[in-house]
Amino acid sequence: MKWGRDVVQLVMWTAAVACVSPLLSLIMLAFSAQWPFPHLLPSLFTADHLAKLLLSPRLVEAVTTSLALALLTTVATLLLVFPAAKAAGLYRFRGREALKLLALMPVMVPAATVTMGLHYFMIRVGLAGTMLGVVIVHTVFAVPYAFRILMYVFEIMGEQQEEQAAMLGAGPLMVFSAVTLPLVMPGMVAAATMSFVISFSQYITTFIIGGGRLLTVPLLLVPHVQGGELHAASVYSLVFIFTALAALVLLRAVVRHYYRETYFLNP
Amino acid sequence: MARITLVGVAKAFNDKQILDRLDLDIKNGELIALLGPSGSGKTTLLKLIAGLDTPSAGRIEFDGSDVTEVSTRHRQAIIVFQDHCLFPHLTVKENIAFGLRARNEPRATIDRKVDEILEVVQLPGRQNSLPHALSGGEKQRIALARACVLKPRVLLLDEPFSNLDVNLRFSMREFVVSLQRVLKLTCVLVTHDKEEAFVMAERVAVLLDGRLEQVDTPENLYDRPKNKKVAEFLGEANFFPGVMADGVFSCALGSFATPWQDTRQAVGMVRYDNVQLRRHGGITLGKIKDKVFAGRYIFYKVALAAGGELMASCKESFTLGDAVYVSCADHAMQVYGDS
Ligand SMILES: Nc1ncnc2c1ncn2[C@@H]1O[C@H](COP(=O)(O)OP(=O)(O)OP(=O)(O)O)[C@@H](O)[C@H]1O
Ligand SMILES: [Mg+2]
Repeated sequence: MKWGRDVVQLVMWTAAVACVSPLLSLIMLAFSAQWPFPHLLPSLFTADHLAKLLLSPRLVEAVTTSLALALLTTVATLLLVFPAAKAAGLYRFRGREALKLLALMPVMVPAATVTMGLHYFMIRVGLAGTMLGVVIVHTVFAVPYAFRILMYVFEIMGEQQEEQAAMLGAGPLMVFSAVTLPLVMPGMVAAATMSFVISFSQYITTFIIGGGRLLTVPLLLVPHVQGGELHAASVYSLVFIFTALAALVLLRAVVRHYYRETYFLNP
Repeated sequence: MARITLVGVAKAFNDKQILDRLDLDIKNGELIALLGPSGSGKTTLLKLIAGLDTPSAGRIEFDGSDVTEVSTRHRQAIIVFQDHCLFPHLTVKENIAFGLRARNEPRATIDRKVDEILEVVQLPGRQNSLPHALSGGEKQRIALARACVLKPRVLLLDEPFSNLDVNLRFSMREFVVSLQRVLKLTCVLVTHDKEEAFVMAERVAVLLDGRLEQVDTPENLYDRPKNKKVAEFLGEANFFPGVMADGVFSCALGSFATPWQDTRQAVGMVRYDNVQLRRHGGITLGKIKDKVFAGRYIFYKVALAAGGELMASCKESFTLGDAVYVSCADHAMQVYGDS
């Protein structure tokens, strides 16, 4: 028994180290002035890279654009996915399997293919190079994941809770706000997290549809990685990671503020 | 509280007929049990009454007015399900207050009614518990309170006790009957447990293959099942093929005077507990072939000397191989047409 617990602990610690160590080396790279070959740690630290890049107006622009795109994508995805996932999760109807498959299409076909097709379409309707255009592509890639997550949540919730609320005399608005929404809220948070992260890390789609007019963090980061400028790349990576984390923590905090903590602890 | 009338109510799913033109009149303030095997359409019927589904034919009336088109929300018919279906994210108080809030009752009234009904269901002071902190029986009582606090026109109970252990089930039966009487609720209890139906209901409606085969008091149903199907469903019944002539039914068990006059091939039915076994004095001889002790009764399988077998349940003790005389009172023999 005790032996088993030790093994579990060992595995957990290994996993934690595996997750954290790349982050540590990123941090050291970002702050190192000299890191000669055989040494495990940099021999000289500096905040110069950080200071230089953090103050650049391009970074501020990129972070703002990235956040705005991710937020809009999240909202658009949830609005689109909610009714579809509810229908697919709760009700049996003709074409239900087709809907499930269709929602997965964008991630089964290579991203570049989908994006090229969409690009052609967006040029025609004048959305290429616009914020709206980019939000639309990001949404296309976020929808499959968000749809899956929410559909399973609705399947687990079942129809009974809503039916019970209706029998007790609640109208559609009360059923939605007092029963459906709180019950699927954990799933909504998961779906929102997924959409946010997917949008935040898009590179090729932003590149093609944005046509260079929209600057996001990945667009700023990738050339530095490819150009071998490791310090700059590390700093951007850190900015990238921490912005995403901060946004997600904030999202959860807001949700918890509105819905009772106990429900999340004891679903 | 209302009188509920079903007129030719039918329901089909994908061309499969589940309920076949049911007619039923439930009196105001009555507790009626709907008894039927699994899959016979009991839950389907409750959903039709509550408006969660629409009948494919026929109509449903509350106090004589047609409610078939009335939405669930305005029908005031509430189902309490077996798995209680409390809202997991709301406290006991918020659960019970749910329907009152939907009606926009003032806060003070809601508080008072919640406190009152919690007294009635004997769970005072549990206002702020969350459902997961309640036991199975407590959850079921809160679910009942949540429905009863609204004084619904009809309370529909869908096997509400089948998740509870035996002792708790017994006390919940008593509790629900007294609650129903105190609040004068019209109540439909769905169950597949015959004893539960008999113990609790004023009348029992037997639903077999989508048809109401018999609607009767528990006594009538037990003593005089209307046809072979009902008798078979109620169980513990022996069937004997035989002949009716001049009001006398003759079969392997002997001849029996009956109130029926027709002449035809027929099937007689005797319940296990209406079969008498004696060591001496009788006409039909048999031999104890098998014996099962079941606590209240001992079940015997008896091989008749003239051929055939029957089952009997009684308290006396016989041993395997004992010779016994088998008999049955005239009035205990039910005779059905041979079909
Ligand atoms: N929404 C539906 N679509 C198709 N068939 C259904 C639907 N609901 C119920 N049925 C079918 O109707 C029949 C009756 O179901 P119902 O749930 O009413 O039975 P029940 O008497 O309540 O059984 P149990 O005692 O097991 O709860 C079943 O054969 C079931 O498969
Ligand atoms: Mg059922």
